[in-house]
Amino acid sequence: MTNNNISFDAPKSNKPVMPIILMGLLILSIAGIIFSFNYKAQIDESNHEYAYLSENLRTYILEAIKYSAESDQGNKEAFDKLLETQNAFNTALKKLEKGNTKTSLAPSSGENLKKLSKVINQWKKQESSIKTILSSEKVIRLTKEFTSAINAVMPDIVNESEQLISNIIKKQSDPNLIFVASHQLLVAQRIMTEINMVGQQGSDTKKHIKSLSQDIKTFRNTLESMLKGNNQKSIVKVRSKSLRNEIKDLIFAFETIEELIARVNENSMRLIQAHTAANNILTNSDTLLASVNELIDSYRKNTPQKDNIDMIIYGLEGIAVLVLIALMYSINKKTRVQLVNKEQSNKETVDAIIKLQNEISPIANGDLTIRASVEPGITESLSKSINISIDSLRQLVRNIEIMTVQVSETAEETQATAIHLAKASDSQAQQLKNVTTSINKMVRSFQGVAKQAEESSQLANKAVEMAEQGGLSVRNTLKGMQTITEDIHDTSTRIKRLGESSQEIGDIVELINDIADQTNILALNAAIKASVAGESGQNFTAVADEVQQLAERVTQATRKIESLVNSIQLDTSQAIESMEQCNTDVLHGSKLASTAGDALLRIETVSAHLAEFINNVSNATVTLTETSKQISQTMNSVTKVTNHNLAGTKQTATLTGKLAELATVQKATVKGFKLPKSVS
Amino acid sequence: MHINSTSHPLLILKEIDNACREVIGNKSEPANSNIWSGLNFQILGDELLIQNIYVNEILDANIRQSLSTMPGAKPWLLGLISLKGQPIPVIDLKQYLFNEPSKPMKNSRLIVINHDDLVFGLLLEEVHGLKQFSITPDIEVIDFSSFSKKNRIYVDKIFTDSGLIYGNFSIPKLTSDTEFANAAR
Repeated sequence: MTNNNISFDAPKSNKPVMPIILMGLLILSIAGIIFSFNYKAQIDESNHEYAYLSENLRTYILEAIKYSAESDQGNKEAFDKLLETQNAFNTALKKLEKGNTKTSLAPSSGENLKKLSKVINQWKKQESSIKTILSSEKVIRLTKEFTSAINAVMPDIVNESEQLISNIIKKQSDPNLIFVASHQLLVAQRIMTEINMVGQQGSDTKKHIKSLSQDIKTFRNTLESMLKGNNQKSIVKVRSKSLRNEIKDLIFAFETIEELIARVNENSMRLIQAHTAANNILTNSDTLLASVNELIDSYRKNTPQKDNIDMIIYGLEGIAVLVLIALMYSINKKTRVQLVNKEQSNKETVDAIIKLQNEISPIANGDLTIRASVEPGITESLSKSINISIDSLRQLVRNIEIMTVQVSETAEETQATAIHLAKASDSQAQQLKNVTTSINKMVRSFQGVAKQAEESSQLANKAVEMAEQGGLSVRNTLKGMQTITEDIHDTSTRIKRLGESSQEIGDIVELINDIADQTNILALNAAIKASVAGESGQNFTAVADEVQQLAERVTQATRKIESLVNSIQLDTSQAIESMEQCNTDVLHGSKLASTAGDALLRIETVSAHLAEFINNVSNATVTLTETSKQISQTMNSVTKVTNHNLAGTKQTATLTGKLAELATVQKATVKGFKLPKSVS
Repeated sequence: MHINSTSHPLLILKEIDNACREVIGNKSEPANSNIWSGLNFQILGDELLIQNIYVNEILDANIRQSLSTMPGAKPWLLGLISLKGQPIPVIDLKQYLFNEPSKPMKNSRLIVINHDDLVFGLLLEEVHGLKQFSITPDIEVIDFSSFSKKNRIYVDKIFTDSGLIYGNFSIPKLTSDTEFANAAR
C-alpha cells in the first residue's frame, strides 16, 4: 500500500489573504479598547484620591477647631490630637500640591492649583494659631492644675470664714465687724467663681485675672485689719484670743491660695494668647472651610478628558464588530465551494468501489484464484492492495496446511512426552512425600534436642549458682579461719604472758623461801641464844621456836606454790604448743579452703562458659527447628506444586490429544480453500 | 660417865677436864636444870642432837663460794671460811663419819661450834631445829643399838619424844678424837 495516498485537495489558487488582514484589524481594535480602559481606570483612581484628600481637609479643619478648644481647656489628649491633625493636614496638602508617587497621583494643575494655593495661604494663618496653642501646652495645663488646687482649698476657706462669722457674732457684738466678716464671705465666693472663669475659654481672661487679684488683696487686707484694727475702714481690733487664732489660721490657709493665684497671674499672658489663638482658629475656620469646599468642587469639575476616552472606546468597539462580520462572511463563502467539489468526487468513488466489490466477492467462498482489475482512479491503489492481499492469503493457506500437519505430528509427540512426564511427576510426588516425612521426623528430633538443650542450660545455670554459693561458703570459711588464727594468736600471747607471770611468781616464791630460810636460821640462832641465856631466855626460846616453825610452814607452803607454779608452767608450755599446732592446722585448713575456693571459682567460670555454650546450642537448636519447620512447610508447598504439576501434566496430555484432533479438523477446513494449481 | 683408861693419855686428861667442866658447867647452866635443849639434825636416818652450849652460831650451808679449800687436807675438811674476820675450818660431818659427802638440801646448815676455844664449822645435811626435853635423861639405861655404828661412837645420851629416839652427839668426844684432830692426809 505504499505511495497510494488518497487526497481530497481543494483548489490552491485562492489563498485567504483577506481573513488575515481582518484578523489583524480585530486584534488591533481589541488592544486599543483594553488600553483605553486602563487609562480610564487610572484617571478614575486619581480623581477619587483628589476627592478623598480634599474632603479629608474639611474633616481636619473641624477636628482642629474641636481639639484647639479642648486644648485651651487643658485636656492633655487634645494637644496630641491637635498636633496629629496639623500633621495630617500638612501631609494631605503636600500630596495634593506635589502628587503622590506611590499611587501615581499627578500634581494638581490649572484651576485646581489656584484653589489649592488659596487654601494653603489660609491654612498658614490657622497653623500659626495652632502652634501658639501647642507651645502653650505646659502653661495651660499648669494653670488648670492651679485652678483645680484653688478650687479644692477655697471651700475650706469659705467654711472657716463662716465659722469665724458665727464666732464673732457669739463673742463680739460690734455690728461693723460682723458686716466686714460677712463681706469676706462674699469675697471668698467671688474668688471661687472668678478662678473658674479664668479656666474657661472665651471669657475675658484679662478682666477676670485683674478682678481676682483685687479680691485677693481685699480679703487679705481685711483679715489683717481684723487683727490690727483699721480706723479708715472703721474696723475694730479683735481682742478675743480664740478669734485671733482663728483669723491667723485663716490667713495662713489663704497664703496658699495667694501663692497659687500669683502663679496663675504669671502665666496669664500666655493663657490669653492661647485663648486668642483658639478664638482665631474658630473664626478663621469658616473662610478656610469655604476655600476647601471650593477646592473639592474644583477637583470634581476639572477631571481630565474622560469623555474623549469613552468616545475612543466606542469607536474602537464599532470597528471591531465590523471587522468580525467581514471575517465571518469570508469564511462562509469558502466552505460552500469546497462542499460542491466534494459531492462530485464522492459519486465517482462509489461507482469504482461497487465495481471492485463485484470483482472480489468470490473470495468470500474461499476462492483465492481470482484477481481484481487495476484501473486508474480512486480504486487503483485499492485494487492493487487487494491483489497483494490475495497473494498473501494464498501463501497463508499453504503455510497453514503445512503447519497443521506439523502440529498434528508434534501434538502426538507432545502427548507421549506429557504422559511420560506425568508418570515422572507421580514418582517425584511420592519421593517428595518421603522427604517431607523425613524432614518432619527431623523437626521432631530437633525439638527434642532443643528441649534437652534447654534443660541442660537450666542445669548449667544451677551449677553456676551452686558454684557461686560454694565459693561464698569457702570465702566465709576462710574469713572464719582467719578469725580463728587471730584468736589463737591472741590466746597464745596471753598464755605466754601467764607463763611469764607464773615464772615471776616462782621467783617471788623463791625469794620468800630464802627469807623463810633466813628466818628459820635466825629463829634457830635466837632460840639457841635464848636457851643459853637461862631462865629469862626461856620465854623467848618459845617465841623463836614458834617463829622457826612458822618459817618452816612458810617453806612448806612455798614448796607447794613452787610445785603449782611448775605445773602451771608445764601446762602453759603445753597449751602454747597445742595452740601452735592448732595454728598450723588452721593455716593448713585455710590453704585447703583457699585452694577449694580457687577450684570453685574455676568451676564457676567453666560452668558459666558451659551455660553460655549450652544456651547458644539451645538457641541454635531453636533456630534450626524453626528453619526445619520452614523447610517442612516449603516441602509441603513443593509437594502441592508437584501434585498440581502432575495434574497439569496429565491435563496437558489430554489437551495435546485434543490438539491433535483439532489439527486434523483444521486440515479438513483448510482444504475448503481453492488455490491456483500452477503455484503449488 | 666412864673413863676409858686404854685411851691416849692426853685423852684421859681431856676426859678428866671434861668431867670437871661438866660439874662446873652445870652450875653455870640455867637454873632450870630440868630443861635440856639441843639442836636436832639427821644423818642417814639417825636423829641426833648437839647441845646448845656448844652452838655458837647457825649459818646457811651455802658457803661454797666463800670457802677457801685447803690442799692436802682430808676430804671431810672442806676448807676455811672467814667469819667476822676469823678464819674457821669447816668439816663435812657426813663425809667424816661415813665417808660420804653431804647433799646440799633445803635445811642443810653450817653450825659454828665453840668448844674449849676451838671454833670450827660443822656442815650438817639436815637440821630440823631446836629440841627441848623437860626430863633429865636416863641415858645409861637406854640401848644405843638403834644408831649406826659410827654414830654410836659419839652419842653419849638418849632422849625420847613421841616415840622417836634422839641421841646426843657429844662435841667433846668429837674434838677429843684423834682422827678428827688429824686432818692432814
